[in-house]
Amino acid sequence: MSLPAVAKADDRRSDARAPGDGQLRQSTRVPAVSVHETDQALLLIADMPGVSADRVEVVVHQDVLTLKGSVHPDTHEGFRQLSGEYRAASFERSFTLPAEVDSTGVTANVKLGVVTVTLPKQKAVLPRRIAVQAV
Amino acid sequence: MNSYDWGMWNTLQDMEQIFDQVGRAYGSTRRGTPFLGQATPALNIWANENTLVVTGEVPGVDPASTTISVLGDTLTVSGKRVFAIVGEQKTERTEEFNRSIQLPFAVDADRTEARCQDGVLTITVHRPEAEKPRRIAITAA
Repeated sequence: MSLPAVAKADDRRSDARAPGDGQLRQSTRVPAVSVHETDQALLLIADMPGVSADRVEVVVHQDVLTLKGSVHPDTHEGFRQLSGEYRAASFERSFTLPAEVDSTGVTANVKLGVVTVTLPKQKAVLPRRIAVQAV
Repeated sequence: MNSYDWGMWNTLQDMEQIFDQVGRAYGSTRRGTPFLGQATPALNIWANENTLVVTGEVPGVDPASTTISVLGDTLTVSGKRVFAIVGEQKTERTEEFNRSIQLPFAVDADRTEARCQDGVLTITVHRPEAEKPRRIAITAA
């Protein structure tokens, strides 16, 4: 079984579901996400600057994981905007989970505006060490 | 005054998003590569008469590794982001950034304030007292 291929296929499918696909949405941004794999889990690492732990929402519904994060608007009372290179809009992105993931054990943490979602693998697909007995 | 054209800017961002998605569909990743000349970090600038607020998105950047300096009307932000590469062997990749922008007026370096929260940098700078507009009293002759 080729697990890296699973992660890649998942990333590709996730983009088919990304907001903005087919329609241009102004209200949310799609966070940049990298997908990593360890023996035990898949990791989704999403850049969501301005999102604190209490503003992250991770919802798993059937095989779709939706990651949302809201940010405070970048406005300053009594100031006018001279230039703008980014829009401080909230983030949203969905992913189709591969069957190998144990969706009941999903955890998430956020540090410095980077959200890490840990998707543990089902026990059945974890590598097992087989004891060899001397005959 | 509102010289900033949000409509156009949103269009550029939408274009960038489309290119991003096309790129990913073909298995490439655009991460860290500027497109349409977008510099890193992206900055927004706000002003009133004597104060400027500069905000920037720096996800994953440790504030301790970030340096902010002011010289006259030039503000420089530099720092680095360390990416942990997960795999059989844990390794790291570092991306550095260094960006200077010109502010609309020279500022007082000693009164520069900066904070970084949840990957968003906020820098507040002030016009020097000596250069603030002063009301001149007119004496009757």
